[in-house]
Amino acid sequence: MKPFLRSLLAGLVISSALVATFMGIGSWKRIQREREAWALTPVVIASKKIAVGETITFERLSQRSIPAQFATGSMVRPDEVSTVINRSPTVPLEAGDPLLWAAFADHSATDACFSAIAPKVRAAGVTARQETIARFAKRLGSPLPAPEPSPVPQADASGNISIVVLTADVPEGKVLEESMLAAVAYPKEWVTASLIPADRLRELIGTRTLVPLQAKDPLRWQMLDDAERPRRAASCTLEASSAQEQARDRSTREESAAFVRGKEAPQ
Amino acid sequence: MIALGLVTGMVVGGIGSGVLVGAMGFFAARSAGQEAREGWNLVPAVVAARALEPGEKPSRDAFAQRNVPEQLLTASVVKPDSVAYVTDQMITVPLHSGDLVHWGFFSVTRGGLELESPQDFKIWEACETARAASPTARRESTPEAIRARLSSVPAGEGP
Repeated sequence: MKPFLRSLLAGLVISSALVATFMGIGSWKRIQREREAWALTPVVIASKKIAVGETITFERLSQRSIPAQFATGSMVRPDEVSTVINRSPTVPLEAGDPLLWAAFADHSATDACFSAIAPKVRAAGVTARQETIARFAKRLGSPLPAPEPSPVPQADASGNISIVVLTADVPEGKVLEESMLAAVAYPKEWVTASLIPADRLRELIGTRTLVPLQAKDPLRWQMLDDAERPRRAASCTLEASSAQEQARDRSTREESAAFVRGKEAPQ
Repeated sequence: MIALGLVTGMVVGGIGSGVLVGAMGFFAARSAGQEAREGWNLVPAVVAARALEPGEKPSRDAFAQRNVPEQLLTASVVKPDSVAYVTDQMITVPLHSGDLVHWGFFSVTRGGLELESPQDFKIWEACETARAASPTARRESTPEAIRARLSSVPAGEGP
């Protein structure tokens, strides 16, 4: 055999052996990993629905084997089950749910804070709401005055009536500007006294919307109120709700911080 | 000439055996995987994409979709088409990466509280946030911390 062929054969044998060995080991490890990932491992599951606060007993639990790759460190294993017996979960469990350590998270301190401050927060919100309504009623009387009726405008020769529509989307509480308004001809059959005739467009500049609206929506008197001195019941409701929310937020911040500071203070 | 033959042989042998053994390994691993997962019907569910701590308001990227055995997919588990409902909601329990996300893990769905209005859960969240900011408040930020407490405190003698 020629030296070239001998060396070629030797090279083939050596490299094939090396590559086959390394790739064989790699494939074997991959197969092992795949098998390990799907090897069954036992976990504890709820055999019945368990509500928050209910006591866990052996009768409410069972064991299930699941592939190891799905059994995270958060799951209670059968050899640890005695740790959770006669305890109550703080999250509800459905039948078949694996029992997680997270289901026994301790919320007692936060719950105590909630119980202590919730009445104060609610009271602060109610007070703010009542004060806002009282101010509204004091200014306008009670019940609030009904808006004056507006006559249906006359149709033009072609049977249309020009009314005011929006040129842009407008959120609730927005003060209208001239650029947001336009006049559009509507068939007279579609126009009621609620719609605003185009000749009163300028009166709408500076009014406030009571509801969110979209571009091309025809405006109605009921959707608007005086921005400076609101007089509609919807404005009163919006103001009262806003005042209530702000008061609750402020009270929540202050009371929760005070509660935790109180717990921190040396006894 | 000998060196050229050796190098040529090694290159040809390496490529040839690499392709052959690689293909065999790939099909063997795939076959082993298919054999191992036989009988397990996998369905998509929402899992934690990273470890989560109580008091966090996880954004969308904190959650991932994973196929899990259908036996684990109970009504408690958040399905992928519902992940928007729990995004940016305060989580109340610690989770490991890969843990299934349950509806009951969030402040808005927390049971056991006497809520008078839907906004009341914000009070609970404020308490949790204030406790998180306190240097002295005892907090369990991992499942292991809960396991340690349960192991050390007999049932009926503590939370």
